[in-house]
Amino acid sequence: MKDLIRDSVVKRQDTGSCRRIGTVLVICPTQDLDHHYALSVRKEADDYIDRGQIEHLIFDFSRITFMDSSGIGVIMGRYKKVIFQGGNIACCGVGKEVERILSLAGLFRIMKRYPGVEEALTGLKEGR
Amino acid sequence: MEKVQGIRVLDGRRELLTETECDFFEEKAGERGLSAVGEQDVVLEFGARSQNEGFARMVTAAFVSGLNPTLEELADIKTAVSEAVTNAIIHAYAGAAGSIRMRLAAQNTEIIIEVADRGVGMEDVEKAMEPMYTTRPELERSGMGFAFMEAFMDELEVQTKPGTGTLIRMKKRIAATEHTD
Repeated sequence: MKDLIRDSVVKRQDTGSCRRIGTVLVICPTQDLDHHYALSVRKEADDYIDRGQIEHLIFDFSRITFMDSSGIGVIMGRYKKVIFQGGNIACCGVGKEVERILSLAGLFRIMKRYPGVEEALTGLKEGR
Repeated sequence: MEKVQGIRVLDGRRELLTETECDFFEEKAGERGLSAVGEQDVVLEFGARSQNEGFARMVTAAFVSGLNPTLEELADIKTAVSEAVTNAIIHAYAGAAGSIRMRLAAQNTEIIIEVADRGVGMEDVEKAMEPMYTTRPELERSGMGFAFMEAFMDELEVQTKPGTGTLIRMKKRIAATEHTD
């Protein structure tokens, strides 16, 4: 119950979710990825992408256990931004809850899955 | 006079509700909006702000915990509630002020969740429920909201009337098995 309250209420401030590693942007949501939080993740990611120099994206889900269809919108929207420049997207840290949503939405067809950020970086660079 | 529309999805089959089956739009002791509140029920009314989505999920999770659900069942229910509440905020009120009422009830091992708004309603409920269909692509809505509600709950009912509001009623049976999560 304590976890529930912490996850849903206390953490609901907009914390940084993105970091750049070379030409790869790692998007790592830190709280329940719903419509509310999706707005700030989307803005932060787009600030990086629109400045240029971002080729690929990694969605790191290791810090969340909840995502709804708003998360699908965030992924698809960012995917459309990089795919036309020849970029790719990958994901890592996918837990059971997030996996269910991603697979129901068919996102594993466009986004390869890796255990962690390191493996995803290697995979994207080698074009695997 | 705008038409009331209702649809029920049960075991993957869709059926249209008749106007009398759409109980949301009957005036009931001036309390139109949700079914009568039973002794064991919880009713929550909150403003149509995105900050409240997490709160709605948290209250739902706390309520459902009493039925001893598996982690997967709990995740399914939280997702379905999140979709219903988000729809009310984004579509029914479209960012304007408004209130959302949620009723949580349990009948034996079945959880019943109603989410009601008094927003714009839907012109065509069947179209709105098509996967990938969205009226708000600029908000990056994926059009998966109803599909998730259908997939994660056993029964989904939608009643809507343009200019009046929408009711989402969802049911899910919680497996009565012993488990240690």
